Amino acid sequence: MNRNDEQLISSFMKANKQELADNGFSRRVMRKLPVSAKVWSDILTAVCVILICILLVVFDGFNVIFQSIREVIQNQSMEIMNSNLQTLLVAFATLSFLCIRSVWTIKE
Amino acid sequence: MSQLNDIALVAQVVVLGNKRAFDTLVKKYQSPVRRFFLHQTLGDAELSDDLAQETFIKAYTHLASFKNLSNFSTWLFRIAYNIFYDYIRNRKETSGLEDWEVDATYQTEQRRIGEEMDIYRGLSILKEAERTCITLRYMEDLSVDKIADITGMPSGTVKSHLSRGKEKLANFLKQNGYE
Repeated sequence: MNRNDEQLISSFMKANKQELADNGFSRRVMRKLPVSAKVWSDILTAVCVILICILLVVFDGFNVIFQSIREVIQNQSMEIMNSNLQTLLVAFATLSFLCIRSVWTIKE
Repeated sequence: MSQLNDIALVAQVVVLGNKRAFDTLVKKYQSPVRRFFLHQTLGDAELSDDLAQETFIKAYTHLASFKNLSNFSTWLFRIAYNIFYDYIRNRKETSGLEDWEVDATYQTEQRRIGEEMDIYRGLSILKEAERTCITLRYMEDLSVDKIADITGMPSGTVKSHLSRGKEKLANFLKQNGYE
């Protein structure tokens, strides 16, 4: 295979290279794409969220949640005041370590 | 830059389910993919479009598995190559290939160059593997390594196919007065 033959083939192939017009090809492809499972999942999620909001309003759920949170905070405040400083430091260090590890895992 | 655009579009499809991003990819690559099939099928436009459509649908359903180890066009051509050879294997099981190859050559209206030269007549003298390597090398300007990546053949095998294909094609062109 000499250089002339290489040029011969190269020029022949380039001369016959076609750029094909779309002519609706991409539209036909897009029409045939499968509907993704995510779409159905999103629809179901939206329906559930709407249903939950309606139920919360009907049964005064926001008030119940607010009362529960207030009770938890009040109970925990009493517990914290009765605990000693050392226990609090250990708890704080453990939580910090777990948070940093979680963030590091996400970053990777 | 083009590769970065492709990656951004793929990410939009995979992460956000943005079908418009995939439409952009289809519009960008429909011509080279369809052209690839036209050359492999020796000008059967209908079959080429069907195989090209199958390629893009398969690419869409497997887009999450595109790991950017190669660029997007190489990955897409690999899918196209596998789809074509699956089609060939299925055809071989049911009937011989020569009939549709001959029919495709006569049915296709081709632009005539110089001395009534027909690209598909030229490609029909090559073996399938030679035709694939030659068209990917000279039509799509892909390197030997990229062709090896697409076809799964070792680089040495790709070079052999290119060498034999070029020799046959050069002789054919000279015999038909193309200089």
